[in-house]
Amino acid sequence: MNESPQMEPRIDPPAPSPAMSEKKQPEEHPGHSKPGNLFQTIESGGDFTTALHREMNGLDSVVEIENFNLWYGKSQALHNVNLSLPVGKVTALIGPSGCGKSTLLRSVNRMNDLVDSVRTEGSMTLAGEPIYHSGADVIELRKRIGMVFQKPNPFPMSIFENVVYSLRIAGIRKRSILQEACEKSLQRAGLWTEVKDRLKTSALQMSGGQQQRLCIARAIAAQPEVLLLDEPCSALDPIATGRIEDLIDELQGDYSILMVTHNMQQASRVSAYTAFMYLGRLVEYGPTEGIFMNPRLTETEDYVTGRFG
Amino acid sequence: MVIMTMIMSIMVVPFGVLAALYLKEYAKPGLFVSLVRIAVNNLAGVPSIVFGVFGLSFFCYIVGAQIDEWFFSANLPNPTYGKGGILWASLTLALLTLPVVIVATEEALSAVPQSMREGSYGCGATRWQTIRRVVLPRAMPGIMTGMILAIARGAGEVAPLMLVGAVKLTQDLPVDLSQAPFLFPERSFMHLGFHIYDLGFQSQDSEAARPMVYATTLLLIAIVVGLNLGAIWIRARLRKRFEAAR
Ligand SMILES: Nc1ncnc2c1ncn2[C@@H]1O[C@H](COP(=O)(O)OP(=O)(O)OP(=O)(O)O)[C@@H](O)[C@H]1O
Ligand SMILES: [Mg+2]
Repeated sequence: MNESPQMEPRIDPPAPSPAMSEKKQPEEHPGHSKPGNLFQTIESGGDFTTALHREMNGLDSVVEIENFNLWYGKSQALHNVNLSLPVGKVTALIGPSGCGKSTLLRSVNRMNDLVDSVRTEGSMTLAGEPIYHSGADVIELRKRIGMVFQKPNPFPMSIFENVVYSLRIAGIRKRSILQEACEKSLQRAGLWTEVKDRLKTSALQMSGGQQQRLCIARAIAAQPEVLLLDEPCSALDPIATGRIEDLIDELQGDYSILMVTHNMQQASRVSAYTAFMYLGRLVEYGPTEGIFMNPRLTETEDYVTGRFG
Repeated sequence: MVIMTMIMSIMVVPFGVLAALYLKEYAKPGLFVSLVRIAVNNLAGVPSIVFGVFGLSFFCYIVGAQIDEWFFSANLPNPTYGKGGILWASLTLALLTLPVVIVATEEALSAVPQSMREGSYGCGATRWQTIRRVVLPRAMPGIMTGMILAIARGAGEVAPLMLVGAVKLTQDLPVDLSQAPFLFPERSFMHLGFHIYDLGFQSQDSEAARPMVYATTLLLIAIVVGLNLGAIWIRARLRKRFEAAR
């Protein structure tokens, strides 16, 4: 109770975070607005444009999101999002809880079609082909985009059948093809040595970390062009998290990855680009280094350094 | 009676499961679905004798008579299918237990986590592939529970059967391994429950009949328990295959 007058620690600069301590940080960013200003503008529904870093121009992109809006019933969850996902790189999506990261991720493979109240506006393309188009083949689209969810969700079947699920539903029956795909995917997911002797046992008997890696193996088995990861490590211990980060690191290049994370260290470790979202808007987007070391907006800086409430 | 219960299960499970799948997975929630659901629940509360009357008039007199006209016109006016028989009795029981199966299956489908469906759709599966490969296997134990309840209810039912085919005494069983098609779905049959009723309340010498009543009751209970154990055993095996060891 007596401490209440001193409840101002947010304004004092906290101990330097490990990500920031190495390089020298300019003390003042010229042209900065006052902290909180932008958030207030957003909250009151005012105009604003995404602070897009210069480096983002001219990159090859695989997914192109333009002026995308999304409503759950009457409430708008995404406001005029513009984002292009660079080919073969890991892009991290950060932002406070409820800002629409999962919603944006699920829009890319039209997972939100499963929610009845959803309405969208604007366009998205995958390798130049429109995703939101009355003639677009959603099933085909989802085959080209792998998705890993926050909670591991293995199917009630054997480990083997789990991994080759997308091949099975594509109608592939040949044992040799299935077996090869299974081994390759499990190896990439770093799970092969652990489970190669028990491929026939139920996937539901694995540990949580193993299940999550199984889900990653399942997502890459059909060799999609894009991988969407929604907080893939949130339910895992540090060791399993480390493994999955290594895996993501290894997968980039072959796959373009869009990944949601609440862990700033993780974002700075594994991603090449970072997008910061707030209340359904894309606030700042640029190379991870730039976002963490030299953000254009104070709001972004506050968030990535943990000063933001 | 075992045969009858089996025919009943074979008839009721696909229909019940399909109906529940439609209600849960395909139909848009709305007035229509709510009405159907209320109707199903009401159906579960209808006295079984009403099903017997319906079975008699619909299966025996309408469907059976039609079959007779088309295929067994030589035997007319003696009905072949146009009277009570084990097939019609089974169908009547199937109708009687349908609500139980529908309700249990809907419960089981609701218990399948949404995340599993999303995982399947995320792999590019169609709705039917998702249902067949992920939802149904996962819901199977629950569906089996519905079947067990249906069997428990159907196997002990007497009232409707008195109308649609159970007789006091008959020499020929519906299954006859010495004659060509082996199965005679049009034949009447004896039913243990009906037998108990008959012995206990209809015979002249009820004192003498008492031991017979007890014995028959014991046998009836044993058979119902046996059927249930069989179904529970199947369910346990399915569970083992699909659920985590934890
Ligand atoms: N199915 C839904 N129906 C209605 N509103 C929803 C639905 N899913 C999400 N929302 C709303 O959309 C907004 C964004 O949610 P979303 O799940 O995308 O947030 P998030 O950034 O992923 O949060 P978190 O970091 O907690 O996962 C929230 O305000 C949420 O209440
Ligand atoms: Mg989320």
